[in-house]
Amino acid sequence: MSAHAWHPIAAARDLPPRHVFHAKLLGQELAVWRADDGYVNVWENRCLHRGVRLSIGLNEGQELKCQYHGWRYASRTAGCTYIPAHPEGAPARRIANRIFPVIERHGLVWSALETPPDDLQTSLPPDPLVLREIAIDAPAAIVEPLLAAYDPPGHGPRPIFFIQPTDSESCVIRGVIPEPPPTDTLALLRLHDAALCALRDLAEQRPAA
Amino acid sequence: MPDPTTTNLWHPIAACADTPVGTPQRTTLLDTPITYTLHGEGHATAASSSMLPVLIRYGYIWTSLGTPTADLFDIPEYAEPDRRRFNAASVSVHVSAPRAVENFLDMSHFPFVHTGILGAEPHTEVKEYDVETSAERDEVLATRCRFFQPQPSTAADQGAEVEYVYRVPHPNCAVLYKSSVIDENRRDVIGIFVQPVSQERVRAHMLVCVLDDRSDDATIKRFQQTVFGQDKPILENQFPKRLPLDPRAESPVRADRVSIAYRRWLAAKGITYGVIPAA
Repeated sequence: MSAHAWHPIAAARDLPPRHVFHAKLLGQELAVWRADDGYVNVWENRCLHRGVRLSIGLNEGQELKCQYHGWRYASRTAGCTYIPAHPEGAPARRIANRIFPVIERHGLVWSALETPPDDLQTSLPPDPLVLREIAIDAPAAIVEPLLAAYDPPGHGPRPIFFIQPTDSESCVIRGVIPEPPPTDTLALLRLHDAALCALRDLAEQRPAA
Repeated sequence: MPDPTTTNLWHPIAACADTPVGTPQRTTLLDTPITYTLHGEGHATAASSSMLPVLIRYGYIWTSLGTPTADLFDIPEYAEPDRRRFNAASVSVHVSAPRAVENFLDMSHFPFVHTGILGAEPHTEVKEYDVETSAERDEVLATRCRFFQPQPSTAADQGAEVEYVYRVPHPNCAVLYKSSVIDENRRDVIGIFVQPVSQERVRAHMLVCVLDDRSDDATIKRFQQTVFGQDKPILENQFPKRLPLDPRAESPVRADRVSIAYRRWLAAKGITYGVIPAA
């Protein structure tokens, strides 16, 4: 699970207008938000001023506003644009939040803690059917073999799975179906949801101490 | 183990008014379970593995896990007979004690966290104020603090520019003095006395000692509880939970001069409990 690799951190639909989404990748908390022009920002989830989570802040369209002191950070650069306690002065140029690389593709939002060497490589179509994410209280290494053996009866086209390693003890399964049938997608979603919940229960079983 | 300075402090553990008389109670102080009993006649006892020193002051029971080297700080206004004075609330917060104190000293969050009460946009500017750390009194003092408040207190009918003095006479306790709307020559006094349960959990005890001849106790308490209820989710979303003492760890601005002085004062005292010491 490399810091230099692309990992999914959210579904595209988790980022409706003016929302801030709280994500986590490899132990790093992220504030993820879509600006009004569609650009997706992936930032360290901490205001530089006093450490308050930016995921409880306000998405104002082109800026994210911290709940604590109203500091504003610009979309794309994450540079601080306004400090209300000192409305006359421009903020120091060095005040910019940490940003992470981002790609929105295949109905998912992808990021990495360090810049990956290559573009995201998948053979997926642009608009696959995105399954509900399944958060699991078990490390990715436990979930991987279970997913490799995933084969619920009567499921039709096989989903492609990605594992988002949230930290060393937990992960999120993000599945997409590349070529979903034109009808009855709800039944398909329900089938996979039930099967993946059963997989989660298996993964979370701890051997008795 | 807490640092010696913290161990030897007096710490608040309960409000007398909220403590049943004659029945042993439990609490936790500095990761240590404590049993305490309020007896009649303003007398209390406390013990962990052995008996602990006890003080009753400002309506609270105070104790120490070490040997207090100094008396508790003085609040002379508490003795004034016409003041309304009581514990407004004791609230558990998942944060370190110094983070809770620093929030109490902060004016610039008023318009955003206490919107319509202690502040409102566009009145966001924090004007120049004075800060001193007095070696003689061993406290941090911020004076000439001014801020526009839509609803400064339960005794106020309208907004006003309010003047504050902030005092930090104890690493985990702070007292503010704000203009009274009843008497322009006197000030309302509000204290926050923070009980460090662990390095990242506290009980915050809030003392009011105010001039208000029209509100009942419940109204005054509700006002303070509303304000603190707005602070609590902010405090619990602050990371790291311990207060970083390295000046480069966060990004202070001019409005944060009292917080800078407070962090420096904690560092000079050798406090390591509830903070991230500078490297």
